[in-house]
Amino acid sequence: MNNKQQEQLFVKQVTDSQGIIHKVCRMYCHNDEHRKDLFQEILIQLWNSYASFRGDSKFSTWMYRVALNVAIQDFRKVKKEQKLFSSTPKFKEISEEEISSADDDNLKLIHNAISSLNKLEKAIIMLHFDNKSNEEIASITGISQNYVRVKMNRIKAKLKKILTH
Amino acid sequence: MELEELKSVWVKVINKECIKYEFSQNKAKEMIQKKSNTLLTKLENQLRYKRWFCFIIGGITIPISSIYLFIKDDSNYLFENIFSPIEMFSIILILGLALIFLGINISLNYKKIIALKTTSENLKVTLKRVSHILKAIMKTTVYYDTIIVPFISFLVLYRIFFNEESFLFDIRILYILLGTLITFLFIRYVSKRQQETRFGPFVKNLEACILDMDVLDD
Repeated sequence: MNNKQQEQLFVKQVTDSQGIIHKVCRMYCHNDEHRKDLFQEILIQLWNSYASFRGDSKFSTWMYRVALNVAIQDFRKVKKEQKLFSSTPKFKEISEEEISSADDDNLKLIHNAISSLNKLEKAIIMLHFDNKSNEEIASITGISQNYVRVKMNRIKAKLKKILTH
Repeated sequence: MELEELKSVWVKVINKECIKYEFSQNKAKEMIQKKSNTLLTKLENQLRYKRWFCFIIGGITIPISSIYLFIKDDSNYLFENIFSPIEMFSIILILGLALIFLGINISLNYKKIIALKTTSENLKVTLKRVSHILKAIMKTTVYYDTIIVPFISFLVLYRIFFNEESFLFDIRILYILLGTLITFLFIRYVSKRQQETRFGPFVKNLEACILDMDVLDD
């Protein structure tokens, strides 16, 4: 496969699975500016690491791994050191008008619920929401299936406590 | 509310955000360029602040040093037991001048970066040169610190051990040299760490941008 074909394939796959990036951004960043920065950083990282994707796992699994790595490690480090990105990636944001009060409540609810979770728990619950099996969650996050099960129970308990309040 | 309800809320929010985004190599390049330019702007600001810090503190220090010229030997002043007023004047003047020279050095390098940004056609080359300039600034600052502070430490120790006495080759020389060496090593460590903390992230991020561009060029 030549470079052009490889690029086309990458563009198609990323475009089809872009929801993964949105999910990771939404889960780890609570303000628009951070979300845009993270979105941009994940895309760059995906693009740079694409050569190392050999197709051993599903594209979405690989994409989750890269996106979560950026969100949990690199992005946090960069943000801690200094704010580097003020540019805005070109993806359409939901405008204020488009967000109804019901959506706004939903966003608040989600933020309240997930802000009590740590970084690994956020990854696990996000993958659970995406209907991933424990096996897949373990494969993406690099922890054992048993630990995923234990973590899931703890997360459920934690969220239940918050949601019932 | 149950977990399943939260899941459905989550799916709803994400579905709203999943608006098709067209991604291409050009867009990746564009993003890296924007990221690099923002990085350069942040670096320029940092250098500007550092330059003004050196000029202001250096500029204040020099007139302060001249006060010692009007102080009589038997008056009360800082370190009166160790240094004479004229020695205090010389030490403070050296410190002030060192800061001014450091400010000039940073100023020249800052201008080089600005010139590179406006004249260079290739962003990758600019980033590589800026990275070199930044490393040079870090090294120069460490040099200044490791020359000036141990020098002053040497003077203080000399005064403590040989106060009012003529110079003699004895064990005190070893103490002075040892003290100066310890100060040198300590200051070098502290200065290096300080430079790493202040400019290290910039160097790392510049190198990451260069690497990103290399990948895209391939």
